[in-house]
Amino acid sequence: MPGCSVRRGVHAPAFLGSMLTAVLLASAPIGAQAPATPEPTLVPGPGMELTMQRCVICHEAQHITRSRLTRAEWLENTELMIKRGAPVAAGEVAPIVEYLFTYYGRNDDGSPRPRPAGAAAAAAPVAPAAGGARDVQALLATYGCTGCHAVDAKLVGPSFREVARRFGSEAGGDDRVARRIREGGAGDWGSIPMPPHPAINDAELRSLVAWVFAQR
Amino acid sequence: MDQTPPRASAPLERLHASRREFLTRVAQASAVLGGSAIAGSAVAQAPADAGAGIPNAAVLAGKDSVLAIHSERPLTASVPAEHHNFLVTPTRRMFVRNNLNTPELDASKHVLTVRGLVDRELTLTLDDLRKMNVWEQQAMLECAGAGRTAFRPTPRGTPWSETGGMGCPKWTGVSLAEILRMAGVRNGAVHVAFLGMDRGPLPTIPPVVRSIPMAKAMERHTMIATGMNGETLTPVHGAPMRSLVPGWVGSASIKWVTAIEVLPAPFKGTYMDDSYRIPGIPVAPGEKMPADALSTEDWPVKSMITFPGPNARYRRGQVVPIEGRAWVGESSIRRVDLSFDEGVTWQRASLDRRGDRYAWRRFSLDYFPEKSGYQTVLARATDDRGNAQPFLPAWNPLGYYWNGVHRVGFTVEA
Repeated sequence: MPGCSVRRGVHAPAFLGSMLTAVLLASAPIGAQAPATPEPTLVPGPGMELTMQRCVICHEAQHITRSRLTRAEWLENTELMIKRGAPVAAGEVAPIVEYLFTYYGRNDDGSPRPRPAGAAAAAAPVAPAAGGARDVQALLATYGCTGCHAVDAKLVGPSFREVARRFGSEAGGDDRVARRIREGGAGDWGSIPMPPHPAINDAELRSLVAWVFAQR
Repeated sequence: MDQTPPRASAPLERLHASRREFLTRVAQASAVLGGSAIAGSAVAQAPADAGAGIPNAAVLAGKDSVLAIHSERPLTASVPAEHHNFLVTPTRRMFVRNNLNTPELDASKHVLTVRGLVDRELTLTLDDLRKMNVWEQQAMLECAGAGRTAFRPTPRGTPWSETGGMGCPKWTGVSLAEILRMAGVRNGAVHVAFLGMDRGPLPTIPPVVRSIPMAKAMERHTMIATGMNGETLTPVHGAPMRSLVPGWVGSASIKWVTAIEVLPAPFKGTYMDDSYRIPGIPVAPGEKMPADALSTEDWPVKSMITFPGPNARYRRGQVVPIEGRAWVGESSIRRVDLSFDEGVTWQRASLDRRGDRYAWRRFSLDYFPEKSGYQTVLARATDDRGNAQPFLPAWNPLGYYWNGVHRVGFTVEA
């Protein structure tokens, strides 16, 4: 029978009350809702980052990866998710549906659609500027950071300035923020989870974190 | 009993407003109504970060490790037939189907508001319910999409296995009819809506509201449950109180219920109009939902083989003790037949006909295999209306009501 996923949950000892559990998890490096193993991610391709950001706030990428739907079904499903609160702007529906149908599509006869060649390859990294430094504005756009974060205002997530003030001078703060960008998760700023960004490379991460920490 | 006088109040539909309207309305409702109306009760208990809820790790600490987790956000989990060989489903094995997060509610502060087309608006606490006629029944609860992965093509939605997404524990509570009679249902009442206290990670996410027809609401087995298997409800199963609409698709039963509204028409909202619907006239597999779609209600006749589990091995001459469960939404089980030749011939199983109105029934048969090797057993239940389980139920776009004949393989060694 397809779809029976393996168990991924962590088992806290039964004697732990939820209060104690919350305290223990809150002190863990990754937030209270981080699963024991990283959540599955989407196949890299055009529209993948946008799809992750809009969909994976509320549910795991697994809800997508387990499905094979027609274009009409993906459109209907995306519209349903908007009714159920997904923060998708009008102009974002088409690229999200295009991505979903391209990589998680089925034909009208029920057979899965083949994925485009090279689908497993990572998205093209942002080219380093002269001297090896990354163009941070390009990174912010490529990974869709500004869809949820602004320099000095809380949007869906905390402002870059808040992040810089909280973690910028903490020992290991850069690693912590870098992990949160790459792996996603929640707990530092509330329950709204940050979607993972698995396609980002180390150099890009370093550039982004350094820029974020400079916003204090 | 804390009875408050009737007052003008916003209908549940307003909970499906846009994000800004939602936030504004919640703030206004809280200020104007002092935290006692539907939206206000959410405000009264919800911290600023309302979406967090109880971590899954804490929820799963109360569950058996045989539960398969289908999703952690939102949490969905269940066990297949071979882990269901209990007369009463233990709480540790009861399936979980959250729409949003598991809220952490203070039972001593929780209130249930009864409003809408009633003579007297009620505000009931857990203690108020305990002073009413509390009774216990064993009753099925089964997700509308239970068995969805057996459909081809497989519709989107929680990937319940063929026998996942259901259970039959004992429930303690008060008949909804007693509560509605206390409030006094007015003429023109058609549906009764329930609002749950669960919330999602974003304030744009509408809360879970579904409604049921008045006749089912007044049927005495429909209850506001406060206990499960003789104990206080656990948080993930709806503590401190939930509605239980036995025999009907699980989504009719709303966990963490905080408001009941008597309405002049079915509730309009995404959990009524976009989900839990089937075509009025069957469509071909893969087709989209037609305009004539109907709301899902009672479950058709269904059964599963709980013993042996898949691929058990027996020696020649050994008895194979077949056991299973059969149930139906709004009828009763007349008979269960088993086949050991893929449906060519059938043998009648013995059936325990006694039991609570909406509880499953145990069936059994001692089978003495005449041949060696791999073989199968099929179970097919028939209800008192003469409806029997099909091999392949009608495909529908959202994958509801799977009730195909269940089949288990075993091997007899020579």
